[in-house]
Amino acid sequence: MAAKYNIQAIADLACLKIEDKDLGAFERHFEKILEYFATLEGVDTSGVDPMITPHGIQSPLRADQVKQELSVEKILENAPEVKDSLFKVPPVV
Amino acid sequence: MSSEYDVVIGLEIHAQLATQSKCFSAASTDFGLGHNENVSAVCAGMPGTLPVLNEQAVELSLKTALVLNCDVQKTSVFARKQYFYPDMPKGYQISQYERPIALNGYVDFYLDGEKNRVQLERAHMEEDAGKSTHFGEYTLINLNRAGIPLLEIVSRPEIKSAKQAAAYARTVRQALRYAEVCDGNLEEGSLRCDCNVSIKPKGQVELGTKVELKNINSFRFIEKALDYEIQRQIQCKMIGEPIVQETRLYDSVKNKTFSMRMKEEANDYRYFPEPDLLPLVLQQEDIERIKKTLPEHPTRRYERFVEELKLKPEDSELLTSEKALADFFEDVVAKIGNSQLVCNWVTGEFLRLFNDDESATWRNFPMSVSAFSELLEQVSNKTISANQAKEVLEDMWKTGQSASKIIKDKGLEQITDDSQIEKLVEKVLSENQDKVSEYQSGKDKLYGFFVGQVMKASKGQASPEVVNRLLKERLKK
Amino acid sequence: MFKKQSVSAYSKKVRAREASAEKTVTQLIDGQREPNKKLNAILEINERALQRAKEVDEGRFDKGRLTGVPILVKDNFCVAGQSATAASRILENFKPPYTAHCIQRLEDEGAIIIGKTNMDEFAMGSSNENSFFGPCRNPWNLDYVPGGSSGGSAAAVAAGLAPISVGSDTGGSIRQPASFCGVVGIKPTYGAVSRYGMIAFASSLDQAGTFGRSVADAALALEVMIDHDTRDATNVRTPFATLSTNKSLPLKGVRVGVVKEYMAADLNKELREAIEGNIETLKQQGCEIVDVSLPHTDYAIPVYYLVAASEASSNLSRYDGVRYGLRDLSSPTDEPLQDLNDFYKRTRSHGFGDEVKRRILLGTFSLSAGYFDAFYAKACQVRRLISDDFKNAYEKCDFIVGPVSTAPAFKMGEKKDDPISMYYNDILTTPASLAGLPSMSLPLGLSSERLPLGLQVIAPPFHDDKMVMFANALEELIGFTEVCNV
Repeated sequence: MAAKYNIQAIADLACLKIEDKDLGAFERHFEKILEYFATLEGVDTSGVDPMITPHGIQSPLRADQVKQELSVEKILENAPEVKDSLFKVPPVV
Repeated sequence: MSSEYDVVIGLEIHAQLATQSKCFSAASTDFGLGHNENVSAVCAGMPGTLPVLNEQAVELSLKTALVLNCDVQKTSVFARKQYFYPDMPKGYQISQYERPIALNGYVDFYLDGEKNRVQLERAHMEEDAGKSTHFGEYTLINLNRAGIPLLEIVSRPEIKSAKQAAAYARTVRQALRYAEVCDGNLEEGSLRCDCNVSIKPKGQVELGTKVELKNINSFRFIEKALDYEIQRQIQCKMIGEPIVQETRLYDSVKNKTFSMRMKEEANDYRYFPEPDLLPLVLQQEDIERIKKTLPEHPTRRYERFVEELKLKPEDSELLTSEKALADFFEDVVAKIGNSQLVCNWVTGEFLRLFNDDESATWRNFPMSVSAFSELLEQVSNKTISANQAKEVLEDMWKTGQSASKIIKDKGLEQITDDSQIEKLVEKVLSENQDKVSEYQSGKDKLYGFFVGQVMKASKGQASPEVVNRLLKERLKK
Repeated sequence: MFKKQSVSAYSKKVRAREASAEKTVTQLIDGQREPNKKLNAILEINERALQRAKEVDEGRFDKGRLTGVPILVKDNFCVAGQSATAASRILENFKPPYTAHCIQRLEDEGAIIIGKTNMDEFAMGSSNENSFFGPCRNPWNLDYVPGGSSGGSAAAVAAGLAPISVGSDTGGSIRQPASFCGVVGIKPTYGAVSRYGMIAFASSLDQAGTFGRSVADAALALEVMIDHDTRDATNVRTPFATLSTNKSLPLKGVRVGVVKEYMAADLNKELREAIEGNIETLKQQGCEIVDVSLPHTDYAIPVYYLVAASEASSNLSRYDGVRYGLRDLSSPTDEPLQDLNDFYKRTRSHGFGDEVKRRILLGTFSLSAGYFDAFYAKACQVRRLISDDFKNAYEKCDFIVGPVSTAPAFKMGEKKDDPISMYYNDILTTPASLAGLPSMSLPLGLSSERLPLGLQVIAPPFHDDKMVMFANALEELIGFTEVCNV
């Protein structure tokens, strides 16, 4: 599990910006963590069913019924910018 | 098209499932409402909100899977497909990935009289994103569509021509409409079709570079866009320009595809099982129950019309194009028999009136089976002539009155009674003794004159058939 | 006021008009001002609390189980119209238009939400030092951390700012601060309390729970919060109807599991003595002490951090400055926006703190192409093994008892620059979280430095009611009566 990684590339995927001055600290942390986590490599997991959630076996379903829980005003009231009841963002390239 | 190349096409058809509420929330799927009015806290991806799967979305997916002859998966799993886009509220789309609800399957259809089969890879459930509208200075986002349930139907990349691709897509749409799982409206986006297309030198096994075409909003354009793209790729090959793996948009006005210039590098979707949902588990009894509700497949119905009802292929295709039309046709046949007569009337006058009537839709069918049957019965037992029946049908369409009432009001009933017509024949012949002699001495042309006179005497109501028969009998003497 | 009186006794008085909710709420709101300046446990007081107290006094909630009971809520729970920041700048001004299901349940039973408490940002932390609103302090000693991530909720109850508080536990975030602050903290079985309206950290681990000065107090509020909710697909109908808040389990014959690996950990000496003393007392009471082994305990930290970070990296993608929360497009060099990615990066980089960023990076990495199998998928498999360990152990015992953390509260700043040692802190709480088991922390005593020592009880899934009965018996046995003064 000697993983090669590029913090900036990961940050890019996560839409985070790491300033150059902080890069070293993030890298050191990452390296330590991965070193620590390398212990997992030694566990024999052949044939082990991954556990995603603790107790669930099957999803409950909801009936196909319409319910208006929130007005459009409530939906928009926390938005940074709104125009014509639409969320507004800078031009998307 | 150049014959030096093989064309390889795969289609991804996104069908909007006809549910009342969204895939994971109780917000309405009704399109007509104002900006962001169909948005719940769940659709907006607000903190702390959670998805719960819509039962009807599952039923409709299952139904579609069965219609498309897929292997229904008793356990399927939702995953998160992660990427950032302003109209994607959670930063991920909930979509089935490794374990979809349906695998394999096939779609049969006829193209130029030959039976074709396109194999399917899978069909999986997912939620729709919102809609971005770009204005130079800013972009506006409407989340009304966010969270609408979709079923993505993925064909194997083995479609060989643009024409075959379009016919396949039409059949899928037809099947979805038959099963009433999707209204199949490409223009409104309730059905969307992405095409993957590549070319390779004839006989080469290895596939060429794949280009994805998006933004195709009619069946006609599927064929045109693919034809254009295939030609473009061949051109590239010929002038030695590399074909780039990319997404291209189709511009129907210019009939061209152009590059979206999207960064492909960011395509690490980091799928993982959606921990807010548990696996979707289907019981055998659910599958059996849905199976019982399946309509006959349109292609199978087409075959039956041709083989059993002996209808022409083009008529059968037309009649089976819409389930409501085919149902109407068959219901009328069940009532009065004579499938050819019914076929002629449905594909002829009925469809002409239907197409001219803007308020007529398949859902809101404009005529009842009994009303139409009654009219055709009058035609088949010769109460009225074909021309009169057309007139009556138009009146029925306009007024909603029954055929018999219109016929009665207009006094259109044919006289078919032998004794009544015999009297008229006698009268005409006795008034034209000289012409009778001329006719009998060989002037055959006069026969038409006698028919005309009898019809005139009956004010056009006499059955021409009876008139003919009686006249011939009488003139022989 | 609640130091000697149980919450249910007080509520009964309110219903009988022998006590006034308005008076209580006024006293608490006025009373918290000075101590909270030192503790920074409460982030916001609910302006409508007094109005609601008046309604309670008018008799509008006379059928409630929590009529008039003032409750503080961790700031990652949504309460309509009140801020819900999760102690993050990215949600600084967010006011949800909806209330979390479990908080709604409390209100339905007549409780009064008096305010929101401090926490580690997005519940990521074990010391409450990762809060955008500054750290919360331990009321037993202000130089020490209260634990985390529900530090504010634990500290507030310990300091008497409210009788009950609500917290969330992902890898120990209720139990560890409860033990650091000398209060009772209960995390129910995963799925018992609806997560609807609780701001997600790690979906498959997050569970709401409660703090109280006694088992009965904490359990009463939790019992109300446990309710079947169709808005959370992972919510389950529990087999028990109540938590038997006032019943004690007869200890004779109870099989108490002592985990070999937990006791082998590098435990603080005083803590070890207290735990061993407690086990000895249980033995004297007729409990059968059983040695059990959870052989995959050592992997709990990597598994927990990989699973939690992976889910968190995804859960926190929604904070993008489009629909709610912070939008800060400033840049140090005043450059114009370059592209869509830049739009997201600016807001998210300004909005999240360093620990949150670290975990988003770790989770993004663990889910990314080429690493998924070795990290996330592997962790999910080992998680199964950890869960199976418990299954095996519960064939031999009814409950597991042991320490909550390896040592009592540590000094502020002590581990801030050593994330690994901070993560290691959770070695004794994360296994039960990964397996989704009910578990709780009970105050066991004080160290020589007068810092609380905690005892952890872990029960089989959906044995929450039995765990509470067992804890009632333990509580009587321990007889912890110390209180702190701030």
